[in-house]
Amino acid sequence: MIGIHLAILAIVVSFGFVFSYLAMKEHDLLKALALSSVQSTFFALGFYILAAPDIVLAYLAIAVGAYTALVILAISKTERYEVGE
Amino acid sequence: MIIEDIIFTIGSVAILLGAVYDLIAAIGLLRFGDFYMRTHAATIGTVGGAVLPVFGAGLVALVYHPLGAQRFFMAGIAFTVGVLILLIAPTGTHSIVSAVYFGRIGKKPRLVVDQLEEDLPKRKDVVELVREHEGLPSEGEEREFVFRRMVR
Amino acid sequence: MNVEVVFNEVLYFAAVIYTFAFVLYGIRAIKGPTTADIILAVDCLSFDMAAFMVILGIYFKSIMLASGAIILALWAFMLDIYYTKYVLYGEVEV
Repeated sequence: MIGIHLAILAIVVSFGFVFSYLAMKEHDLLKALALSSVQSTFFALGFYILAAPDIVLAYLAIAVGAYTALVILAISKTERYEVGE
Repeated sequence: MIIEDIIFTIGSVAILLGAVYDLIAAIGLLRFGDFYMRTHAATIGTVGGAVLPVFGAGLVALVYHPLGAQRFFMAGIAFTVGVLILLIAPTGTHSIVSAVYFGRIGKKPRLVVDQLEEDLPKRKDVVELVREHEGLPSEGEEREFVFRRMVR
Repeated sequence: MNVEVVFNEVLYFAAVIYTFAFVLYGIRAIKGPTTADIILAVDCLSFDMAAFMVILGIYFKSIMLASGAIILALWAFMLDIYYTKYVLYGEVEV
């Protein structure tokens, strides 16, 4: 019973790392945004298990809400696919 | 008291049953073939896997005495989250499926009959309707200069 | 019936199953062929994570921790609406 939340913390943070790497290597910007939102949801549970409720409240509102809204607004004004080098 | 024991047992059974529903929904979301069948699994995952254990946790928190006087606040939070998810989850899933269907994203599965496709107005009718509604000049007349939003 | 011992057993069983379900949702989000699959996976993931936050809040005996669940559920709903408005209408008005 001691280590159950520590095991959950390890799994969740590892998945957040994998998703941040996938979002970095993606050329479709909308797909990269969706992968980034998965990463921020996993990190929110990580902060929750580390017992930091104020950081959870701020991180959810910024990383899941305002960040995705601003990036979708920017994609709709410009282009969706990243081309060239 | 016997009533508190009964309420605690109902809440615990709801939490365990919700966890099992959640595992079933996750396996279904991983294994199903196309998008419309995955939404079927997502329905089980949200209503059976999130709303049911949240109401169970609210019932447990009402009689959980180690929590002290805070247990009524905890039960209020739990019931609020349950009602919010019960309102939000079908709306969100419906909007995603409508975006996938009308935006023609991905590959459409092989269907025997698609009655929504037959009932949709054709493109020519839509142009006529827009012209009637906005009061634009028809084919033969002089066209004024109009700004139109470019459709993708 | 000792309430705390029984609830710890229940939470141990539920936490293992919930973590396994989170891993499966994450694998679907990695594999997902289109963007709509990833959005659907993050939708289910957020709602289940909100439920798991409420259950863990009873275990940690803190109401400040459990209040993050309301915000998580509401912001995950906004993500669906942004995606739908971008795909169907081509632009988003914030």
